[in-house]
Amino acid sequence: MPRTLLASLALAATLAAGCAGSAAAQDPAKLNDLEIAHAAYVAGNIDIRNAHLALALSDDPKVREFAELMISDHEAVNDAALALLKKLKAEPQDNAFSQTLLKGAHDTWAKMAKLSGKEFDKSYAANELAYHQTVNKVVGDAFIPNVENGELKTLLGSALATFQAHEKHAAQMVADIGS
Amino acid sequence: MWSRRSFFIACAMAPFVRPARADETTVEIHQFKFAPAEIEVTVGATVTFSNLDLVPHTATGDGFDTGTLKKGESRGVTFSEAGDFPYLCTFHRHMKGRVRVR
Repeated sequence: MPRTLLASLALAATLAAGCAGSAAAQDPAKLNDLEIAHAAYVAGNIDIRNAHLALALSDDPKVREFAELMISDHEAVNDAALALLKKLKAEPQDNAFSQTLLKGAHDTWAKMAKLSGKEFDKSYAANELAYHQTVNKVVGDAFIPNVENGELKTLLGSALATFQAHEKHAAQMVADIGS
Repeated sequence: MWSRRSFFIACAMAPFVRPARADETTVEIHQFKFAPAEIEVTVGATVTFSNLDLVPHTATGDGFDTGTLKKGESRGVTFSEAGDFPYLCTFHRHMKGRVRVR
């Protein structure tokens, strides 16, 4: 199975826990509001791209349905985030945590693009479950408690509800596809 | 089943506010739940489904469909026959509700 985004996020979380002296910038609990907004937006875009890969490579109806939902839902969440940033006249700030997410995603896409058929479907489903589990933990445990802007906190709360629904759906997809 | 029951999608996509009336009920869609999940109305009542979530939802049952409701959008459905009408969101199928028409 290709290395999943979970590994990248776990790496970031490990660094965040203080295992490396230079890891402060990657600690999701230490990001400022604009960095949190950037990281959340990047995380959504990664899953949209995961979904486009699935639509290109999978014929499984359950996988395709899930992928289409990920595109629709994550685009809606990201649109809401952009609208809020515009209202606040703020620009999201790139940061090491976002970069870690992207690096892991590029590695995953490169490996998953080489798969096909059932092998791809199983890998995509497992990755989606792991990705949402980890993102939900970061959003719930690090982003929401630490974000200062009230509107962004509310938006992240709504986004978390969305991602938690995705996590349940992904778990069902994993079960449906089987081993 | 669509031909057996005549439902009428009554209202447009735009959000709207009306005075509360006995024959009008609102079901809010929030945090991936229909609230209230089960309602009872009289024949001829209009149920307005209002999406408060960030993501699109539907309320789709036997013979009625709100279509896609984006954030902040509402749509009314008039129930012209008695019966029990379970429904779900076609995007997020774990979201379920029921309208009892008496």
